[in-house]
Amino acid sequence: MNLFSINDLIATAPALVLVTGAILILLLQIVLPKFRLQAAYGVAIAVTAAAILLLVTGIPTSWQAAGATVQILPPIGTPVPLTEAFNRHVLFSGFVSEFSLLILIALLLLLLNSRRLLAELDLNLVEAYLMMLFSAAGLLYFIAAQDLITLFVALELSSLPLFVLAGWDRHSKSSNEAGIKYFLLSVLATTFLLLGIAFLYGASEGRTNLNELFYSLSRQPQSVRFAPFLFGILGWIFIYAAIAFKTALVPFHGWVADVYEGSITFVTSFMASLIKIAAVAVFFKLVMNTPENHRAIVQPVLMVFAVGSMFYGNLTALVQTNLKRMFAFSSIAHAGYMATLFIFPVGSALLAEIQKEASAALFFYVAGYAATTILVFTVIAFLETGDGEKRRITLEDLKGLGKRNPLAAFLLSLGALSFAGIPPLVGFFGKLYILRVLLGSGQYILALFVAINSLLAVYYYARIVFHCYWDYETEGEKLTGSALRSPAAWISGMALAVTVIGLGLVSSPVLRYALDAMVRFR
Amino acid sequence: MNNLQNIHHSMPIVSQVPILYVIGLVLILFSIGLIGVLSRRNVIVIFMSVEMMLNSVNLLFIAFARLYGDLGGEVMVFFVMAVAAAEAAIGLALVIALHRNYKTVDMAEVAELKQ
Amino acid sequence: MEELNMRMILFYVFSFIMVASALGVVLHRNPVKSAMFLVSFFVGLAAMYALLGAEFLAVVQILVYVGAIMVLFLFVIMLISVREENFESPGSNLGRTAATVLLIGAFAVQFLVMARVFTAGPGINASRPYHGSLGQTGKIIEGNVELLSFKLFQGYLLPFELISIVLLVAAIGAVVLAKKNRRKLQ
Repeated sequence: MNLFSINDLIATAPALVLVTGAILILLLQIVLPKFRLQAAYGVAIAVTAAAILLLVTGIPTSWQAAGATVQILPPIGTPVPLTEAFNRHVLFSGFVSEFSLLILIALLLLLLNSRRLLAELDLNLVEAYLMMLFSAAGLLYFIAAQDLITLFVALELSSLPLFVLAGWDRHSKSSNEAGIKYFLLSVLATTFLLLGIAFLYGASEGRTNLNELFYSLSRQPQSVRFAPFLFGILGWIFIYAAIAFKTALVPFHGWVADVYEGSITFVTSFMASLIKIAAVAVFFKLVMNTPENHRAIVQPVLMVFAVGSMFYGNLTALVQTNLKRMFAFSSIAHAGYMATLFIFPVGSALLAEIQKEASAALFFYVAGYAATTILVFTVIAFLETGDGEKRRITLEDLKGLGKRNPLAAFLLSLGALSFAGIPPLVGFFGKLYILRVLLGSGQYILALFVAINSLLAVYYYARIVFHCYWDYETEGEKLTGSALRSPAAWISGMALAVTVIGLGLVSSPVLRYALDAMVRFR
Repeated sequence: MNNLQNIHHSMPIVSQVPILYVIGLVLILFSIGLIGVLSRRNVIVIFMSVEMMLNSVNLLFIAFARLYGDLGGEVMVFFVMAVAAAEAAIGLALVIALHRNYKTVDMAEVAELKQ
Repeated sequence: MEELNMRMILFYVFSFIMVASALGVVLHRNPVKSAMFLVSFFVGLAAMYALLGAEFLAVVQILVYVGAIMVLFLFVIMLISVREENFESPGSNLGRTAATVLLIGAFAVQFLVMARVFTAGPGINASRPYHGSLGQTGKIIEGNVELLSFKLFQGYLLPFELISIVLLVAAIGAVVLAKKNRRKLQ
């Protein structure tokens, strides 16, 4: 057990910068009576940008204490060294750094829009920025956590602000309902996580560190007559269930549609992008840390998660008319596609190679998914706020949008086409890489399921595009939505559009970079 | 003090609670809490049931910590208590906001969103 | 067949108290009485902690749960004057009933499997003190509280610090959510 040193702080610098920024906002608001929302907005964006900068470049060597290693995104072609900090409670690898970068960029893009969107609904309070920064910092620790205790606490740090954000619109009944539902089910998931951790703790004679856990558990005989082995199996299943809840996988999807629909759209995009990035990354990390003898038995559970989510999400989305609910179900389906990457053939000699490929494919898919999700929900948010009190957008409302609000229609269609997997866009390459990994590791049935579902999904995404551009007849009031006028909205909208198109075009260098950066997880 | 500990150590080990009994108790309590969560409609009672589940898991942590002589489990219980306190604050604030709009805390009547 | 000794008798007594209170929480129609049953559950649990040899946590359990959290619960229940709840019949929501039965069944099966493979298992020696050395000084400590605090501030420093942020978030969040209509004031 080491004493705490400055190196520990340096290693977790990006998350610390976010926390510092949040506390700065809190203090300035108290100290300076004239501290305006504008300033809070500025501080939030500045610290997020600073955190990204720190992550990409690292801290200048002259600042580092002796022997300190800072997590830096690896230069192309070289894996980063593993950095452990806080008594091996957090571990930074290329995998962790890359997903941290995704989270920070997603946060920045969301923050750019936040002021306008919250102000439209008259909900623009300083505390919103605090909550977002704290939640994002919690997610950074969540991804990096190498000890189950830190994992649990970091998960709570990321969830608690979200309960507040989900119920942010205190005067709206639907927001209240979303908040309370998200809270109750989330806390229930937490109890399952804790039960899982307790069983793993019991199975490994008192270990919570993922690395020690792996070596302790992998020595167990693979027999359910051996009690600790049974504990281990139960532990993994309960932990998977809890993280599957956060990832929104079937059968833990019950909250998704209501919470996504009920929360204000800005918060929905936060949940659908940031939380999902982190949950998927942690899920993958936990699967990596499940020793082979346990995985052989637990794997069918993952199979149920993946296949169930794909079919349930797509089939339910087919019949939705409410746009936000449709995208909620489609996010379940996308979680299902990602979850197929958690399944590896048992006893394969090439396991390490397959896992590396899978992690790179996962990174690429998640990056594309997050960009598209933020794009789509941002457009929905702008459409919602245009007509005063109107909150729910149905497919019917989209008719003829291409004429009335060309930019919104274009961005929405772009997002829908990317989700559907139309070739030059990023969604297509994401699915392609998933299929390649699945076929490469000989899991033909899963690959078939992914292909079937991709075809199923095209129908309801295409309907959005069709309504926007070809179907003008509509009764009732016409939806126009507000134009994406403010510079911040314009910048983020364009940045996302460029990402959705461009990431597809440069997909192979990005994938190569992701592959190079991935190092061992344990 | 030393003598006292020696007495403890030299006592025959008959007075021990078997770990399986504790696990059984924990699972029973956990299931009762789960029944509460799934069958009650009052938000506050649901939340109390969840608290009960959290606490039954704490008991499991302590049992394992004592069984293996490792303090990690007890530290974990500490964190769970702190988190439960934080959750209680947020959750009850949400309940108050809910009650202000709906004038009820019955989950069956809280159904603004389409099923 | 092992003889019934004092510790086992106490274990059964506390177990009975806890299970009975837990059933009371779940089954009583009046939320205030449910809350009182929960208090008795927490006290029983604290007694169980002490029985298993975690005396310090037993005290903290009473202080935190009974002293703070339950007061908060009762306060909110009184504030919103909850009425008694009528139970719906199990048949009215078949899906939920099925889920309940399924989950409880799963837990029962899980326990039975464990009981088969594990026959009572090793006992928990409640009087065994923890051992540990004090970091670089090499001093050996024996004692629950001392070692716990040492672990908390050294080995588990990061989660400890994160918890402080969690509590800050809870304080801010609760105020934001429960605040009165701000829009009208402006």
